[in-house]
Amino acid sequence: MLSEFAFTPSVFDENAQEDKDAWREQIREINLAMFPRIGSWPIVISDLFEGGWSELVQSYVDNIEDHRSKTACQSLLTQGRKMLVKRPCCHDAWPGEDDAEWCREAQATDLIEPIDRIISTRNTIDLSHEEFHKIRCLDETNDSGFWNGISNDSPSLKMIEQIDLLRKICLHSEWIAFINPYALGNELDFTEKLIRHALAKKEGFKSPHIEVHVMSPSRFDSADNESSKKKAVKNFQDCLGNNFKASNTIQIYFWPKLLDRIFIGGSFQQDSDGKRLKAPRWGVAMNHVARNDHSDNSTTEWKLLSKKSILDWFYKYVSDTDRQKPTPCELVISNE
Amino acid sequence: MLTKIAIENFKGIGERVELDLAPITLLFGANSAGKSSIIHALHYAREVLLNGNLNAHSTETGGGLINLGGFKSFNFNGKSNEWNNKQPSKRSIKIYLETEVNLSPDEEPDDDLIPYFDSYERVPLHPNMKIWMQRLCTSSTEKANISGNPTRRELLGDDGEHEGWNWSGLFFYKDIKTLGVEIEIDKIDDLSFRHSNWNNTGVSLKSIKTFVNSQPGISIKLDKRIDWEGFDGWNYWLDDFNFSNDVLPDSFWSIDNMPNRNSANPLRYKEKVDIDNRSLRDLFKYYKEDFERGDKYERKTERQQPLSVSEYDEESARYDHIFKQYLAFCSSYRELIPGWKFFALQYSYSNRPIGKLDLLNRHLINPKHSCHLISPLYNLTGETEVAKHVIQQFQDAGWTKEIIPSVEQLSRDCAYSFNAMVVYSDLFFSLPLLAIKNELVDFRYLGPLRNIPTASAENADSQKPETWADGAAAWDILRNSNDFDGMIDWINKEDGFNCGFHITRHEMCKIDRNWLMDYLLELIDGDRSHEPEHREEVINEISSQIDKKDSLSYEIFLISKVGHGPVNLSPKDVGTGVSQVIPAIVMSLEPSTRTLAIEQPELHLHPKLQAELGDAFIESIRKNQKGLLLETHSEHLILRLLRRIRESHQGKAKENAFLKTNDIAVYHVSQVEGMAKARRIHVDINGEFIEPWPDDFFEIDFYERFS
Repeated sequence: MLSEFAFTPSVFDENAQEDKDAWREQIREINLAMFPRIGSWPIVISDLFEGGWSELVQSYVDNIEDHRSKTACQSLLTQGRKMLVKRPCCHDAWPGEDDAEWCREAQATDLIEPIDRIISTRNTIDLSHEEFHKIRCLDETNDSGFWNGISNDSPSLKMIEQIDLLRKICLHSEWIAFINPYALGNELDFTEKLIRHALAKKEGFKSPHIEVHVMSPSRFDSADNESSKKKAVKNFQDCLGNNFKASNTIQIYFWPKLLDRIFIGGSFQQDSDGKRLKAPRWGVAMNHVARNDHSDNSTTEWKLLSKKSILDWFYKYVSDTDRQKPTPCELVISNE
Repeated sequence: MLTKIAIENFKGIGERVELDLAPITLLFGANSAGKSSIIHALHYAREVLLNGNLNAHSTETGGGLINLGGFKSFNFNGKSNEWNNKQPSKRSIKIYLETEVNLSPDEEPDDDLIPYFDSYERVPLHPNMKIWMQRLCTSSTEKANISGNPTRRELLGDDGEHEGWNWSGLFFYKDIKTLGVEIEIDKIDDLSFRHSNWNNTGVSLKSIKTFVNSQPGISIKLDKRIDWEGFDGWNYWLDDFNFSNDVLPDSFWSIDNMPNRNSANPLRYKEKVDIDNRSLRDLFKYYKEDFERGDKYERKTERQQPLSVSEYDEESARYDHIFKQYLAFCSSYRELIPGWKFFALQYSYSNRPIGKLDLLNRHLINPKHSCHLISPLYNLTGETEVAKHVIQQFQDAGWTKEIIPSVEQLSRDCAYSFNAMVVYSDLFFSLPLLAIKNELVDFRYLGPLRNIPTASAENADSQKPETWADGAAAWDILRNSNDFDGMIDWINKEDGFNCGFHITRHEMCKIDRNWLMDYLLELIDGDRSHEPEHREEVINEISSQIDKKDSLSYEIFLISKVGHGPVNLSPKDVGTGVSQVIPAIVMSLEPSTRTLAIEQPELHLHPKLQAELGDAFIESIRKNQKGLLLETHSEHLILRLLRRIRESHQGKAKENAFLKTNDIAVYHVSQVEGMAKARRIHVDINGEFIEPWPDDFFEIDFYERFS
């Protein structure tokens, strides 16, 4: 599903490269692998040290003298900015231009929440193979093994595996929207686990705002519609309990007709009036989700959404500018 | 400026496409995605609402560049997802337009709002109705002699002078922020329609709906008129009146001096007028059902006595007499189309012991008067005075006062409700319609193919909308602008549109060649041309010849800032990009338009100047507060706008380059299942898109380099 890469700054340092032609080619290949023209972009980039990484790397790229290498690195950065995710600082001291310190920073944050690949240059790794055993060299990106397990579109119907696939989106999103007609019905177990996981973020990561979109439990125009919705929310609340790290409000949207299983996450951005707007970043379309009673190892198809599909689903269900969005029921969970 | 447009079943647009328009709205998308359909819908709406041109081919604003090809061509005939092949075509075109206003009961009228109140020499409230309302609103008739048109304040605000009746009952209780109109056009295949006097194409304005603060106001619909005797022609009907629009006061249905007023709450009454439906059309149905029960001879009189056959016939004869007089009376009203408002009268007389409501309809709703598709809708006011006249006719026909209530009695009993409704209907209908029409009157369009001015283009008159489409109007504006220096200031200054040329204007005149030659020869022969004391004499002599000719005009030249030196170049002598972009800049800076649509403003332009064009458009909206609708493929243009937003947020933008996120609306138009869809891509304060851009528009460069 969505994977996370961290690059140490030396990857973008022209002076740190022994074979500059090979370096340029490697950057070019990474560009194409990370940002395919068709389909979804499967990789996010760690902006280490609370965003300090991207600022430093930009200065490295600005100083590249070979214009072809500069174009390649700048392209990686420009495209990468759309997929940047901030990682909190793990060390007090700013690593500066010491690439080994950046390796240590990346490994420290990886211990809090795993990073799929940490990439540096040969010179840096050679400083201490033992210490930097998890760090991969830029030239390894040409190996097919490097990309193994980066994308998995067919999870089993096991709860843990499926929740883990949504881990990155939950971690880096300021809001998440779970769209599932049966989220409060016979797939409530999955919803509960997903929300518990989303709210159980590690230190330095904030809990996301949560929306759950479900199909109305009874006919929208029926007399007992309101009561059945209240009943579903109450049932959900009982299921979740109050044993959370922090209080949170979950917004539940009941739609008259809903057939899709989609998970979308994103950030909040601000307009000139100070209004907070949801910015969708990632999405997953799910054929089925695991239930507690699933026992076999059969798989289902999940798909990381392309930009266009994210936009379509976002506008269909999540966007607050959509006038069709129903009024939500709010469920407050607390840490009591 | 227009702030919203929604379109259904027009050209490439099938299912409803809605766009919130900002001061600068940009339409991006692949070729043939449907961007032009959105702009063409504006042309068409203008044709419908201003010219009644429902089956439009050419359009006034499209000049020679746009030919819609008639209803059959521009009615969407694809297959929507929802309909899924089941029913091709045959869906009516709907176009909704909305504009922002600021009508506050508490504030002085804004000069900008004047057009909404005096266009077409009308005010929202008919002068006659003012008197009528005064009559209703006061306990005595002394205050009824008020002349002149009502002011906006009188209309919407409490002037504090009226006694006896809660004048504020007629005010809007909330500020009016937006006014909108939705038109629906369809081809009516019903033979009875074609055989009537409407039109032989069958293309008709099927309905018109107004919106106040984005909530429905009233809806008027074209439909068959089926009375209790059967089909009797076509007409427009009041289809809906949204009493729940929150600009209406709670006391809408009430009058202050009603005996059953609720003393505990002056704004509430124990009983409201008994209309439990929201449509006078429904009211009519009520009567229809009443008749269909076949009890026309059994209807109760006020005395609870059924009418005899002879009584019924007698009353029918009276009605015939009254309405013959009435028709003669109203024939002097050129635009008066008696219509739904007379249901008010019917209602007023609903307790009358007669059942000739059909007669009312038959005489008052005359299809011949409804031939013009638009004008009947203009005049939904003023009939109240006619109603008074009709009441008089009732009385003249021998009806006694005990049976026919006086005007005052009518007001106290039940007419108030309808007259209040008439007034509100007027506001609900005319106000939005006039507002939208005003926007469309000043809608202009610059197409993607611009003529470079030649001598023959000198006659282009920028007052004519059709001269804008090919850019000819821009040169006329430059030639004749009273504020030429102000207009070109931004183009010429170093930190403005730095295209390498200055624009200058030379005063031209015609002068008799023979006279001039003779005069010059005379000067040369006399060898006096070099004598300084003769200079003034020569100038005066030539000037006198010019003045006599009365043929002063101006010509536009461009002077290169580099290379050629100070040589006057005509627009056709400079690069195509410059001559193509000048119309776009001039038209955007020209103050008279409210909404200006430009297709491909970046035509033939170098990327650097495409970015500069972004600043031109910011300058335009800062100076003139107009709306620009730009169909473009320019990455550089949008990147400049995003940069200005970022700089503005960081406090680095110059005053005339200040841009907020809501000053621009970016739409990506694409084809989805054979229909155009428009997705808004919002922008944040860092000048970044909030939603992901759905295609690789901004990554073409990347993929061309690395693929």
